[in-house]
Parts: sequence; C-alpha cells; structure tokens
Amino acid sequence: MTRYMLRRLLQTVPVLFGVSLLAFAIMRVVPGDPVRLIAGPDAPESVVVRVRTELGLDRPLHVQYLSFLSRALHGDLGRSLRSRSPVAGEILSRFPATLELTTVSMIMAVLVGIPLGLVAAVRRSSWVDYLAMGASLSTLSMPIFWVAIVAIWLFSLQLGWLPVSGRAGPVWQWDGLRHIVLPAATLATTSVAIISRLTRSGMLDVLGREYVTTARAKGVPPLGVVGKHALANALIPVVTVVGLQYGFLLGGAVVTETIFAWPGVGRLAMTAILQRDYPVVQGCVLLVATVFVLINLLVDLLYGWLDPRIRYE
Amino acid sequence: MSEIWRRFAKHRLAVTGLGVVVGLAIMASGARQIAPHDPLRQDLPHALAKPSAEFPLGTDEFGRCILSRILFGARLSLLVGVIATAIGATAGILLGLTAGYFPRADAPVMRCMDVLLAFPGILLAIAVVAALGPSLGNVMIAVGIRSVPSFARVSRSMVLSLKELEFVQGAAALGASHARVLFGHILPNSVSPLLVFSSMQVATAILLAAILSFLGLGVQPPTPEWGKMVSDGRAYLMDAPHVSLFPGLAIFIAVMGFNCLGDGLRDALDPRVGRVAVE
Repeated sequence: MTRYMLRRLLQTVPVLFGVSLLAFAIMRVVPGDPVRLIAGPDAPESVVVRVRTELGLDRPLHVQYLSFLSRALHGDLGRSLRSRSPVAGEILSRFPATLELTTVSMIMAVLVGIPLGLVAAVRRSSWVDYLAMGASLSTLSMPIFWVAIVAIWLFSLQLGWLPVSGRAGPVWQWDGLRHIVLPAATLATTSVAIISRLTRSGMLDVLGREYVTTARAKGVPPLGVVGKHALANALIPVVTVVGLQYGFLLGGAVVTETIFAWPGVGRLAMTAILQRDYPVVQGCVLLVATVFVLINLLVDLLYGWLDPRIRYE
Repeated sequence: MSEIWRRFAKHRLAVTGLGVVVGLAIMASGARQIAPHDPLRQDLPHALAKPSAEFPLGTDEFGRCILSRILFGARLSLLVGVIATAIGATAGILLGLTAGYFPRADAPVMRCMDVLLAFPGILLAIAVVAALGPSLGNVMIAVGIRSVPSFARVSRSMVLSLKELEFVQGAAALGASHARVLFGHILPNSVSPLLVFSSMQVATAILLAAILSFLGLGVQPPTPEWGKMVSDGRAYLMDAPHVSLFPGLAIFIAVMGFNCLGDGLRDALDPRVGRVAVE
C-alpha cells in the first residue's frame, strides 16, 4: 500500500509540471499585448517600455517560466495586472465561496441522487424507474446555463421565493442559505444525474449476485438486504464519481458562478481570462488543476480502502 | 448489417435520437426554405412579441423571428459539433494509436493527455478561445482540443486489446509495415467503439460550444447562435422569457438526440455491452 501510494504520488509530479507549463504557455504564445492593455492604446513608447520591464515581460520566455515556477513553489503567484494585489491572496479570498457552493451542491446531489437510483433499481421497470432515468438522461443533455436561467425565471421572477443572484454571507445564516439554494441546485443537476444512474446500475448488478440471494433466503428483511448487503457494495463506484465530480466542480463552476454572480474562483478566472490578466489566469488554472489532480489521487486511495479486492501491484 | 439495424430499431430511444438528428440536419440544410422570416431582419415595432401565428416562437429584442433564428442556428451548432469532434478525433486517434502500438511512446503521450485532462474542460476551452480570439474556427479548435485526451484513451485501449490478436500478429509477421498494421488492420476493427464515442462527443461539443457563445466567446452578433440567443434573452427574462427559453430548448433537444443516438449505436454495434446490465 505504501509503495503504491508513493508511486502514485510520484506519477502526479510530471502531470503537475505539465500543468504549470501549459498554464504558463497558454496566455503567452498568443497575440494580444497585456502591456498595451494596461498602459492604454495611446500611451507613448517610453511608458510601454517601462511597464514591460516592470512586469518582467521583456525577458526571454524560458526565464519568465522558470521564475514563475520557482516563485509559485514558494506560494508567490505574482501580482494581478489589474488590481496590483497578490494573486495568491485574491484566489484565497474567493476560495471559501467556491468551496461552500461546491460542498452544498455535492451534498444535495448525494442526498437526491442515491435514493433516486436506489428506488429506480428496487422498483425496476416501474414508472418510478422510467421517470428517474428519463429525468437523469435529460438533465445530462441540458446546458447548465439554461438550467440556471429556467430556475431563476421560475423561482425568483415568477414565484419570488429566492434571490436572483449574489452571495449574502455564510450558508448557516438565513440570508446566506437563501442565496446559495439556486446556484447549488443548478450545479447539482449534472451530479444528480450521474450519481443516480451509477447507483441504479450498481444496485442492479449487486442485487443479482448470489450473496444477496443467500441473504434473502436466510430471511433477512428486504430493507436489510438492500441497505446492508447490496447498498454498501453498489456504492463503491459512486464514491469514486462523487470524489471526481467534487474535484472537478471545485474549479469548473465557471458558468454557474458567472450567471449567479457568485464571488468564487470560477468567476475570478473568467474575468481574468477576458482581461488577459496573465498572473491571475495562471494562478487559477494552477490551483484548479492541482486540486483536481490531488483529489484524483485521494479517490484512488479511498477506492482501495473501500474495496480490498483491488490489489496494488 | 441488417442484424445491426434490427438491434438498433428495437431501441426506441435510439430511433428517436436518430430521428432528432436527421430532423436537425434537414432543418439546418433547408433553413432558408423553412424559415418564415429573415433571421437578421429587425422589426422594432414587434420587439419582444409573444409567440403568435406570424412569429410562432415570438421575437427577440430587435423584433427578429426567434424560430427563424433557431433554424439558422441549427446550422452553426451542427457544424461546430461535427467539425470540433472531427478535429478531436483525428488528433486523439493518431495519438492513441501511437501510444498503444509503440511501447516507448506510451508513457510520454499518455502523460501529456493526463495534463490536458487535469484542466476542467470548460476552463481550458475558455482559455483557448480567449487566447486565440472569438471566432467560429477558434471555437471549433477549443472544443476539439478538449476531446483529444478521451479519444486518445479509447483508441489506445483498442490497440492494446487488438495488437495481441492473431490476425494482427500475422500481418506483422508477413512483413506489413507499422502503418499498414495500424491503419489497415487495427483501425478498421476499432470503428464501432469510436463511432459510438464520436456520437456522444458531438453532443458534448454542441453543449460546450453553446457555453462558449453564452459567455460571449463564440460567434459574434448578429449571427444567430443558440447559446448567444439564450444569453441575450437574459435581460428580458421578466417580461419575455421565451427569448431565452426556446433557444435553450433547441440546444437541449439537439444534445439529447446525439446522446440517444450514441446509446442506441452502442447497443446495436457492440453486443458485448448487452442491455442486460443496463435495462
């Protein structure tokens, strides 16, 4: 196990290195001069030269990359070209909002998705099953921004139950809770669909196994069969997907955060990309990809713990 | 072939999916004939009109016919979906074949794919378009890049399972070149899983392209594009929700069509993945 963990950890090093290289490259090798954006289109040449030197953009690319990498490893992601404040600080100040949104939406997704898949599997080929699976297939085909807009239209504009957008304090306060419901539910839709489908197919697979038949034959009550014998085994793949989805959403909630004006990392990244704020884009991309890679690692290890049959050789 | 068709036709959802896709293709190619109005003609007195006999799906903030714009938008969405997938498939399959066939190339290629996979798809696509500039071609490239690692993985696994089989080993033993083994023997036998996968990827590509336009990174106005139409309609959500809701519905139906088609193709082409497990 330890050897596997070490090997798995070592594997992530080149991936993270590649991520940093790509994050650095993507905004540099392309047309469009950030210096012009900052100094203004009519700035005299002397100002342009000074700004370029100040930002270190006059140095060769490989020098820029090496200094970016070594400073990033010390937790220094540079300063935003716009606000002039440290990028690491900007990201850290947005991260709680993203973490909160993602966590609430994953809790929603698990609370809805697992029971839905369970009922669909147990009442297989009934109307509940068709309804649940039809709904999850449709959800997977809906653009998330459209889901968000329909939700805003229905729950905010028509019914007036929930606020349209923004964040108003932490989730444990009434107003904060009211603000998080729509964005979290919107973000949860895809996960609900994935989780319920997986739970259902996992349950169907397990319910046909001999040990479940044995448990039934022994006279274990139906709820005990489903709950204790089947569910525990059916949920193993679900754990993986919940983990991956969580890691993915921690950085990928760009669209939801933009629509609901949620002050998180996704919205920060989106704004920075549009403004060509290189250091902020790099910082966000680096953080998002790193979190994703690390959660992948964690999920792999958790999987082995849940299913001891998996041998790491 | 008839066996495949029989299995496909049994799958009601798949037939529906095929119907939707064919319908979309007809709408897209015949947009000029079917559309009741010019999708670009502004008619300000009729701005934000509710659905009526003259404008079956209502009008937008410039009084343009939403139905006509959706019909013309179908061209763009299909084009982007198919071409982006073709870009991703070409690059991904070449990389996957290389990685699977040449052991020395395996680790470097697949580690690069891991790097691409570590980026959330949307963020990567946004960054590529923001960097290259918003245009139809760049959207296709951005959306295509995102599917490269998945195509590489699928085709690599196909190579790994096929290259040990006797007919492939035999071809190699008879002196066939690497290229001939790869493109003459391995690739043709990988067509069905790749076809299934491509159909699902077209769905994802349409979705992703719509997100890009929604964020203002796609085709520029006044070209009718579904994602952009949803985005533009947001400002009038209170009084004229149809401006946003109908184009979104179009995206949903198109994506659903390709997803169902993929599902049906999988069941029809690949009897190993029987419906026993999923039914």
